[in-house]
Amino acid sequence: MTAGNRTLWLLIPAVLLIGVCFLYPVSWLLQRSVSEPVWGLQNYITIFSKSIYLGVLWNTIAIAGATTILCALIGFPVAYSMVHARPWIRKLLIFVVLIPFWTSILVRSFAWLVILQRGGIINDILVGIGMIAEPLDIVYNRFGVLLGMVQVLLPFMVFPLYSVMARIDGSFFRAATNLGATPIRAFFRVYLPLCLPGLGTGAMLVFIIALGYFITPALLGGRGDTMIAQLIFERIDEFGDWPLASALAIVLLIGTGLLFAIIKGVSKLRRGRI
Amino acid sequence: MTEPLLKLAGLGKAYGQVDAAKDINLDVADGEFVTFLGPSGSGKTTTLMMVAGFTEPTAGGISLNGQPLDPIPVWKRDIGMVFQHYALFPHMTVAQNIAFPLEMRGVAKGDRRKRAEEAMEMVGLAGFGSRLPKELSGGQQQRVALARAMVFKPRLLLMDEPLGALDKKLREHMQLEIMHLHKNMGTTVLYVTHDQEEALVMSDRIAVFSNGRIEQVGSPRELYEAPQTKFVADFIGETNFIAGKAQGCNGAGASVRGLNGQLGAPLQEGADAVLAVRPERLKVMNGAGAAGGNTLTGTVKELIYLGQSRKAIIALEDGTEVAALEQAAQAEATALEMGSQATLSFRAEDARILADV
Ligand SMILES: Nc1ncnc2c1ncn2[C@@H]1O[C@H](COP(=O)(O)OP(=O)(O)O)[C@@H](O)[C@H]1O
Ligand SMILES: [Mg+2]
Repeated sequence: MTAGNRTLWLLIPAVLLIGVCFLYPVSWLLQRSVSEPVWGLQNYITIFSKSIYLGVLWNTIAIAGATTILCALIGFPVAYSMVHARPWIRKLLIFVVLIPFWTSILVRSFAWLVILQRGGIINDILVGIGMIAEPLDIVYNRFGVLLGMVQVLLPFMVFPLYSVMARIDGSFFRAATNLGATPIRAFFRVYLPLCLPGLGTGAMLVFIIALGYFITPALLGGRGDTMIAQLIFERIDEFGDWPLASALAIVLLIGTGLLFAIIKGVSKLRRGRI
Repeated sequence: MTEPLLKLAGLGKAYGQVDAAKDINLDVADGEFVTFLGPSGSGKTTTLMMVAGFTEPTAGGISLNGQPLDPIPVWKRDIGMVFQHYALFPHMTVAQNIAFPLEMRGVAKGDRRKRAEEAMEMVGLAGFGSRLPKELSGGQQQRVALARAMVFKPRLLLMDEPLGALDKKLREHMQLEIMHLHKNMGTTVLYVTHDQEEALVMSDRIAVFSNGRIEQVGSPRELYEAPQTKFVADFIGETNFIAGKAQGCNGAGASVRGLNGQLGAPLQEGADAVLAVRPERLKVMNGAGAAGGNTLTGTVKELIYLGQSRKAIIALEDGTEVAALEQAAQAEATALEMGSQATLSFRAEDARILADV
């Protein structure tokens, strides 16, 4: 413990940063959410009793959940290929997966708009080759939102998975088939469980980041795809309604924290073998 | 002769230009313990992996019980395997690991548990069922791997250097345990090791591998006493080589530099050859004795005390060093001294004349 105490001062910058940039604003929000217009929980009651707010909360969870599932389904084979490909293909894959980080999210979302809108490239081509008569609505709806979010968040799934998969020895799979498991059973009974730590970390990252997403749903979504971050922005920007916006922000924060705690608890239970 | 359980016929595996295994021919009888022995990179694992079904042969074929194995996928071969680092599933308990092959074969849950428990008892791990593999010592993990590979009563058990990760004492203990299991269960075993002592102790027969080929197959005694190639004589135990030209090859015997020995394999008259003789087969005399049949004279260069025996290194006139081993009491009687002359003699039937390659 002495060694720990002596190096504690190394934490000062981090403590200052978190205190000034996180704890202070959050307590300020918390205070406004319970003290205006009068002291009490009225803002929270509004959120959990009015269907527009509940709808947005549900949207947020549904979009974040769907994004997580899609990222897992797409990211798993990508990570697997990265582990098992030749070195130069692996490098190429890592590069491709990382590209989204190199451009601004705003630019990317607008690019999707150009590609997907009714007069966009995809519709032009499909109509041009006669596959469809009328342009499809593939943006300003849930599909567009998910497409944009999955593209941005995929690396958060791929890299944790990749680092776990790279450490799984091939002999586990071989042992399973040798002991009588078909490749499919060996996958579900042995390989997939060994990937779970990576899948869990990736899913948590994607889901939590997705919960607070703003630009992508705002640009690529329709009226029914509003997420909580957009709602917060709208309350402040259009109505100057700080108390309700603050309450929404606190709900988002507590929800995320709860989720984090639940996942931690579950993985601890798993490790302790129920 | 009854049909062999396992038959490897002209088996080969080429990776591009490299032959990892080539022209492997071997019959293994039911219940036999056969060891692949050879230095690292000699093709032992490759051959074993072809039998297990993880590697596809590029030549020849394998049959089990007279049936060709080639079209049968790994999971239907019913061949147990103990992997070098055990490959115990880290997310399953010991009991779940051992029951895994039964689960895959659709054995009912109650029956599964009972048989897994029997298997744990068999390897001395009763009561460890609910532990995770990482909570066991190396030797215990080894036993779990063994139990898992045997619980479904496979037709054949493969082991690739299963004791390589254990310390010497535990290794020797596990050697005996594996031998007992083999005797009690009657399972046919193909065992891979690069440790010649381990091979000599455990095997009914040994196949010596070198450069992807089998050099010789035989019982430990045959390989030690009657090696057919210089490689085998050199790899198994300690041997003295005296190089020269083969002379007087007459089917059973030949001579090198006037020293007589048995022919290990047919040899051309005048070919490069070595006479191979084990240190313990040399009779040692103090002083320069009479030159005669099968004697060597030289200077004592080193005397090595080994407790129950004593090794003398004797340098012949041409510089060849020859080791001779004497039991402690005999060594005292001989009373060699450093730098003095010594004479070595041996019987022709204890020496082998082998091609020098
Ligand atoms: N997948 C592979 N690709 C190319 N060469 C291989 C492969 N596997 C084994 N080899 C080569 O085949 C030879 C025999 O290897 P192996 O059977 O593993 O030897 P051992 O088990 O006796 O140490 C070695 O030279 C090795 O480099
Ligand atoms: Mg090997």
